[in-house]
Amino acid sequence: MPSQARLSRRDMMRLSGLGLVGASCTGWFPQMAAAAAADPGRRRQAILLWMSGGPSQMDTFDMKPGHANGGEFKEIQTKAPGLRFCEHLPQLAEQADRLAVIRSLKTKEGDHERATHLARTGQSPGGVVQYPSIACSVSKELEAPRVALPQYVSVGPPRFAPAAFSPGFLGPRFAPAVVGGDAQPATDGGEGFAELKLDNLSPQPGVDPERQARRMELWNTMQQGFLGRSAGGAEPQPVHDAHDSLYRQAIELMRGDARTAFDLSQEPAKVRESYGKGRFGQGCLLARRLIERGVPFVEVALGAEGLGWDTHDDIFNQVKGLCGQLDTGWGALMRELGERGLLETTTILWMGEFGRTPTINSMGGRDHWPNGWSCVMAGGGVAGGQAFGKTSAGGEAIEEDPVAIGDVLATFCQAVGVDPTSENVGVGGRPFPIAEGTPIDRLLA
Amino acid sequence: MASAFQRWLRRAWLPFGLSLAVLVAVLMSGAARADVDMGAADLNDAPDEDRVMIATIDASLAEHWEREGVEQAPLASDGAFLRRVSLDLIGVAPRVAEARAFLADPSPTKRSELVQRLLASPRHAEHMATVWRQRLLPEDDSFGARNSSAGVQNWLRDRFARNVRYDNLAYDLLVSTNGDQLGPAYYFAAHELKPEKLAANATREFLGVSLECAECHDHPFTDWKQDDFWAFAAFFARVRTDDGGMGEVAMRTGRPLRITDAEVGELTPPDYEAAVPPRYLGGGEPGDSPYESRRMQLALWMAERDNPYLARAAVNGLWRQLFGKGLVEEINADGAHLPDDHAALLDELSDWFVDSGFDLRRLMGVLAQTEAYQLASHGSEGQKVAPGAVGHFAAMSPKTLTPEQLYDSLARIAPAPNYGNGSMGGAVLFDPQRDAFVSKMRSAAEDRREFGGSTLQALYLLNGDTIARVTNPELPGAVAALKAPFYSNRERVESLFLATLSRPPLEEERTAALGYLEKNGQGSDLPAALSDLLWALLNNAEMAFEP
Repeated sequence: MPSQARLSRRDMMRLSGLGLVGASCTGWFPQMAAAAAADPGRRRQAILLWMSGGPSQMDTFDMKPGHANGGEFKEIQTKAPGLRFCEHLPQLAEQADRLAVIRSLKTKEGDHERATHLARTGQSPGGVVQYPSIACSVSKELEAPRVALPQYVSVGPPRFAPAAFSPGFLGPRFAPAVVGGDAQPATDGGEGFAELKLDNLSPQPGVDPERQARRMELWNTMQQGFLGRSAGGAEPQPVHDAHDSLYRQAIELMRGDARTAFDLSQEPAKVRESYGKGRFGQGCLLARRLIERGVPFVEVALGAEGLGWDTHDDIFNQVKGLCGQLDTGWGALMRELGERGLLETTTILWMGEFGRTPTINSMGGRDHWPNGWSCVMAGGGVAGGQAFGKTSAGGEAIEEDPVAIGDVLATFCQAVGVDPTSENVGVGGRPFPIAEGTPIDRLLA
Repeated sequence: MASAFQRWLRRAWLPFGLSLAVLVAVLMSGAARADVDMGAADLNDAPDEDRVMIATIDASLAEHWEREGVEQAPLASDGAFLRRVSLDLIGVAPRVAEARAFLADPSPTKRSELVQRLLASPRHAEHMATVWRQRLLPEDDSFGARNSSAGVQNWLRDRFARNVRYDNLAYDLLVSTNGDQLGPAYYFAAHELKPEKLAANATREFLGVSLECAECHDHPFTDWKQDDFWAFAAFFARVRTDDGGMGEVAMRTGRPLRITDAEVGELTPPDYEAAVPPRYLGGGEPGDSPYESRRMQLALWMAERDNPYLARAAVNGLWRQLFGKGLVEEINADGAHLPDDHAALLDELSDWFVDSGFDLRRLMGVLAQTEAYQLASHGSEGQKVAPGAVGHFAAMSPKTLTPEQLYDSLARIAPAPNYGNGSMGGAVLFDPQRDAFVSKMRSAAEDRREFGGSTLQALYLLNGDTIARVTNPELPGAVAALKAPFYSNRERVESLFLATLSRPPLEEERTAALGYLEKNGQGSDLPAALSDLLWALLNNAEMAFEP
């Protein structure tokens, strides 16, 4: 091996232990989290709970009890005086003092794919500019270079509207690391828990650790040779160097401690159960583990397998089940982040692509409705315990404080400590602000 | 300037892509094809003129290096040149057998012959169609968009295969009405029929002028004003689909898309009081004509022989395709292009291109035969390249492989199961595995001189399914072939280097690879060890770039 090799033989031997010698993180880890939370300079983090298909505002956070449009569910009191939720969200009701509901969001797209693009990028789809998703933009701003984990992890995103989930002109460096995407159907990871794995984190099937170490060593020899020729006695060409450093980071991710973060079996069964056994619940648990380790942005989708929230028929049965998953997973996530002192520095946004019609159709369902719907913000930087905006008694019209999607995205940025007017440079050197809207002061803590 | 008579002649016949001579021939043969092959290669083959132009380019660059005190890099090795020119001209690295034959060929003119061979290959047309489809259509991975864009790809491939004059190609695209699988009118639907989107794309790709900024404010560093942008966009104000709706929707319901022109319709930009009348870039306004729609008038203006932008933008774009960056960044009507280092060369080349009959294929042949194109880049085989040479075309810039180039090259190392079985006339489009690979590996770096990858993409190449399949000794491919007992390890190592990097191994590489096979590839372990070697080569930085 050439002497200028960047990975020593000892590193190589450590590589050979991939996955077998995961550093255990019991003991020192809680201390580290507590210390991190107490640090005033601690970086901010964000979680997006993406509700694919369009959740019904009137059966969740904007109830219309006593009205013909109101539907079957009762509303319940929450911890915040005057703020009422659906009866199937008891855990969230317990924590309503940390939640702020926006009830007057108005958008102009009623097709799933187009609306998803609009909600996530602030722009309708199509056209010259490939706008990045808000998650990519915010994770770029919150980048934590010293964290040897992906900067933006996305759990179980839907399989359509890919542009709405992409970094656009920011480039693939800011793409999400997808866990449990559509390439991996929801499988049982043992004891009935949904399995979540980061794609391509383990060597190819059939390559055992010893052989992987040999391969890496051979690769390293060839790579170093090329970089040496590229440098011609000086520094390697920047593009070749960029390739090399990405590969080094990728190899770093394959090591034990990064993989440990994704290993939910390290959690006690009781904790795993408290989040709910499905993909969303386990995704919320994964979000907590990643936030603890400093990952700037985590997204967890609910309803992504076949637009679960798209309840054109039999809405009350369906939403009851979805609320159960939502309440359990999100409730546990907030509780556990709070216990660790991380809720202060972690901002949560709950949103889908649109709401659902106030009137109930002949199939006992509700249809697409962009004309007055709800989203929720929680945690760090958010003034909880309130609802902003108001819809009419039957939900058909916005009566107070209409809000545009850009305003929501700008408020989210502001809450997480990112200036929404920060610009990124797109094609042709043209600058684009992260969010085109006005932050809603009343929602900011 | 062309005489009035010439202009009339061109206007009268240009829509049919005909010159008088060909018109006569067509009338006599009774074939009323709308696009006759005007490829100069068939009509007035003039290699002498090509040689003069090649020499002119090299002399102009040499003068520039002299002035700037830049040291010219040595010529690239045969292997590096072969890989580079194959990827640039046909979008795929050479097969092992081709590499062997080329390296062994003693002919002093083998590089020129190779260029001609590649330009005549059907893959050249496919590659050019891919390059242009990506320039013309916004990136969109949705199924509907992929389906529709096949029409654009097929149409372009057909034009490039017949080497249709470039001015006709631009004209035909802009006046097109059919958006089904044979027609390019999806161009309009892909940009949602929005004048500002069509204007931004057409000025950028056909005229080499970036007007996007002027959509919202006057251009910060050129003379373009917001008015110029909207006046140009007004040419597209009357574009409609025949069902009055969005083209995209029409495509989904299985109805062929048709693009039409309304008789009336003006464009009032946001924040403007009144509509903006159409104006050509740099001045001049179209008349109202009952026979020629606005976009037809725009297309006619563009395809004028003396249009100050079209030919220059084509030459500059092709130069960028081969050299990684254009001769200039910003084209100006008066010839004061920016930066001005190679402005005169661009104009000379553009005049030549116009005289050749807008022959894109011939132009590509000329550029690929220059000495400048054959210079070494950093890295591949250790030639010394002086710092700073790259920016002046005194050395080649390494260009990142596109996902399509990478996938297609991998398919030559181990055939992909669905490869070329697309439903679209055997095109490489619609291979679901290729599509998945391309969308996973896409780089946002528009400039191929930058490396815009991500750690996730690196993980995908290290551990993902495509490379796993290509290196699998049990599946058809290089490893399965090289398992055969009659090869020596030396031959095996050489073959794998030729298959991946199109060059024989350097001495230290040979030693390392042979040592590896010796140590880990005894008996039944041989397939796995060969697979390891191929895997290491495919993940090497050298593989990710054109040499």
